[in-house]
Amino acid sequence: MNAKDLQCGVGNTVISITPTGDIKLCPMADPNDFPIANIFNDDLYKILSKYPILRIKDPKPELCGDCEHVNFCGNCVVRGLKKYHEMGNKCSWGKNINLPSVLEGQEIVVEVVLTLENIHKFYGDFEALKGISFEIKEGQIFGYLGPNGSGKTTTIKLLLGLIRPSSGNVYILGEDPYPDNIEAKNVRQHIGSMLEFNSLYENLTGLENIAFWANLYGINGQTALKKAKNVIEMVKLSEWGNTSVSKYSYGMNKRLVLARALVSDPDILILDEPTAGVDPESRYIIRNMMKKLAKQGKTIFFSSHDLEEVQKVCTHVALLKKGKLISEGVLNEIITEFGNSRTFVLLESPTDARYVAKKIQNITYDLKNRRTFDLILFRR
Amino acid sequence: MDPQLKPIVLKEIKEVFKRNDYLFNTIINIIPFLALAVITVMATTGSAQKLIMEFSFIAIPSLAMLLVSFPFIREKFSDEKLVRKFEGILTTPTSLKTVWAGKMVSIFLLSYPSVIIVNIILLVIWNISGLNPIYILPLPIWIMALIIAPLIPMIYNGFSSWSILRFTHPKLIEILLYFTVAIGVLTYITSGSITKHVTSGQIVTWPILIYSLIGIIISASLVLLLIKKLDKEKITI
Repeated sequence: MNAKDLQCGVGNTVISITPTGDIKLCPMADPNDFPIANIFNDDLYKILSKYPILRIKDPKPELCGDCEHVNFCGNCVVRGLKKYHEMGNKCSWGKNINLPSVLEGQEIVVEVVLTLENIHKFYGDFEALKGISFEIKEGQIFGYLGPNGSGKTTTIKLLLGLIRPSSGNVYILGEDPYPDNIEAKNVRQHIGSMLEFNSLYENLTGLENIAFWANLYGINGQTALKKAKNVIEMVKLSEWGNTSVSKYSYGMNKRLVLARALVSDPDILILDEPTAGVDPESRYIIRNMMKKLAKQGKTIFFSSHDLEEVQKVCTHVALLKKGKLISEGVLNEIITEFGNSRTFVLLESPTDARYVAKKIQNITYDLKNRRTFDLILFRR
Repeated sequence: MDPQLKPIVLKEIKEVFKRNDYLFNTIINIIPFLALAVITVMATTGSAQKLIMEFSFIAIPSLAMLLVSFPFIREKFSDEKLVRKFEGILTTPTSLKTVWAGKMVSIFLLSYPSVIIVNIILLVIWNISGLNPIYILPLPIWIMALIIAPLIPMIYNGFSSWSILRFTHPKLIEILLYFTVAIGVLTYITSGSITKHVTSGQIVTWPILIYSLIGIIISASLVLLLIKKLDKEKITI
């Protein structure tokens, strides 16, 4: 077999097959973060299928996640209708696509609410973000996925106008959120946020904390108190409203911060790992809240290192690693990119995994320290 | 006035009152100065009494205010910076300048009562010793004691808060500022200025009051300029 370099979605070689048949994993596909072994074509599929310990998922195309009428393959689902037209009504798998007549020819215009343009951020000599660019449109739930230290919080601080980029531009509703001018303040009026550090005032009660936040957004008096009571009820903390925050558990703190973010009824929510380290009850409440808010048409940007979390909540995803954007797009598209048309490899046995590890270089350490060896990241 | 200023001031004050140690902190910080005042009154006689009275009304309440305000500067700037509370509030439609101003106004409102309390107690002590400062001391002294002198600790607090926000290690900056003040006070005491005033017979005259006011305005302007120039990234990074 000839040597092949197979490209992932952003042009990096994910798996290389050497002339001797050895398999090399792309450095970008660091198993600690994204332990993926993608199968791109039939040749590789056949090779890997020979290993008894590898279970290969069906690489055939499935129904498009955006439009149930279209039988897209993984490659042509990108950007839905636009891509469909570019493909000349023909899927790359060779099947004709039956586009619903109601959608045909229509251009769907959605407002871009958040834009990052070629963002670089340096902390001294350390480059935390390396040319990040993406857009978030109105109504999207955008999951920002990456391991610790990948630059998620830095991105969130940029979006909230807490820091400014070393180069590149950040726009929220068309304005730079960093300066302390009227325009930036107006923009911040539309944003509710939840940061890594809760920044609650421990001596005040939950209601007082939220009412104060409402005051900062120009909501005063009884209206502020009424709104505070409403949002505190939404996060199931009504009974704790008059209790000092110092008596709250970590999960309750997180819920209170989410309530605080909602008190101004913002159009955009920017949440930094909202469910990290919280108890199952709080996680459930926060997750459901996010879904409800999305149904109300709010745009939600949230970071996480928990893929399952992102899958359960998001419509759009960006994958970040070491300050670099690995992939970005519609969740189903990403699933397709990394999941269906490019099949993941599931290693089931630790013993066998060692054998595979010899074949798939660079992941030996990871395999030794995993109990389940589940390399599948995206599941439906 | 920025509409967010009032809620920030009220929140800062409410936070302190909720903690129940405000009164205790104020009393503890005032006691040493009251003891100093009593000793001063008891130890002085004759012509020096008026000068000592003047000095005690100008210096003791302001020093008490400075001491009372120290914990507030630490908690509202240094501690909040360390636990990243500034990041949260700066995501709202408010500015760093407003947040700073709100905190400073609250610190003034929380620490100024110590000036009033110490002044009242000084009046009582001097009255007990047979002198009534209200009749003895001229108007410039009272203006200095109640308005100008209490602004000096606030100017110090202004510089202190700026340096805490501006530099990376707020705790270290706090310690350095304590030392700076201590060295400043020692330098003043050893410079012979006190002796000079004693020999002149009056510490505060109208010209001294005006110069002091100009000095306060220049210092306050410098603090405001520094805060205006402060980049919020220094706090949020």
